[in-house]
Amino acid sequence: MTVEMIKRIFEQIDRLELDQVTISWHGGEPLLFGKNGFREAFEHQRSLKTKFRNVVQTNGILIDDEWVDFFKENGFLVGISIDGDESLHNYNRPLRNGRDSFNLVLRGLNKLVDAGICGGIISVISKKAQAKSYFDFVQSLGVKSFNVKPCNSQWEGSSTPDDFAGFSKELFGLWIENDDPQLDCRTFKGFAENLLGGQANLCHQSGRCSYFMSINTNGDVYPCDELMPSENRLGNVMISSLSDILSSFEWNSFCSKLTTIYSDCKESCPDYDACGGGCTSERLFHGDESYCKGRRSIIASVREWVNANQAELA
Amino acid sequence: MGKKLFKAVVQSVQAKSAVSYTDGPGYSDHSVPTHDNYPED
Repeated sequence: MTVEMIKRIFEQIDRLELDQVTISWHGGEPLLFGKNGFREAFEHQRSLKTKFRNVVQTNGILIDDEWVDFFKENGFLVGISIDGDESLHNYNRPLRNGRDSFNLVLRGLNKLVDAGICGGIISVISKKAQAKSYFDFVQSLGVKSFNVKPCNSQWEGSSTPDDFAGFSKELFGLWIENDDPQLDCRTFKGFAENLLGGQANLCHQSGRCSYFMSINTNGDVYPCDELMPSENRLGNVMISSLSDILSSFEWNSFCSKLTTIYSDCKESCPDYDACGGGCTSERLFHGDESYCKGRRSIIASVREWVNANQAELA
Repeated sequence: MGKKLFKAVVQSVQAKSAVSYTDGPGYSDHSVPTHDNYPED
């Protein structure tokens, strides 16, 4: 994506006159855009009326002191993608040349932690992952937040929905046993927040899938990066404005589809109060049955924990 | 079990009574380990 395109996107966002907008820089690897590109884009963003919040999800390999200073000075929250300890991470994420990436990622992560700007880690869980060793690793990092995602690609190391549910349930047990309020697991916390009548932050727990747009490097707009490329393309920012896209037939059709999905869930599923509807893409591409089964088994553990603590407080 | 954590979640719910944002797809990182996510070293 060019700086000119990003500036154009920011200007289009500004014309929407929203109170606050979060820009989530991700990829691929967003830092490949370069420091000069980030600086120029950010300066332009700052010249506009809209209040922007910036988050970056990166593999951390390119992070150096200059990046850390930039992020810190400009209020960016930075998350690192790291999949577990050295063995596990290197299995999941070799460099293109086949060499290991773990130490390069860890070096970047440590710089962010030392500077106090690490927004946490996100790990893709493959079939080799063990909950206990993963949780020990997370504790060793000094981060305040972590989250896990299933590896559900066509890769040989992918976990099945049952694998991931089993891993997550064990991880949840370790998390509550550790009982450290300074170590947040966003998915578990989100389920609990929903059960307590609050509002989870994660999109797939909030029933608010239509609060986002993802813009590809060529300017194509999708409801979510997980829904590209597909028939869900909404338009292109170099041809149409975001305002036009938001009032388009395609956008309204997508929102209608979401409304149907969430309404069906709400009416038919006893766990909707915790679940919040789940990730649209995972449901569309991987099927309701296996996806919901795993998710509901995790929710059962969270619900039990919430109920026990509520009973104790009553 | 997890009493301190539970209290923290309750406090979080109370503090977010006027919720200001929702974290979307990028921040929740739906990425899978494609090997294209790394620069050439």
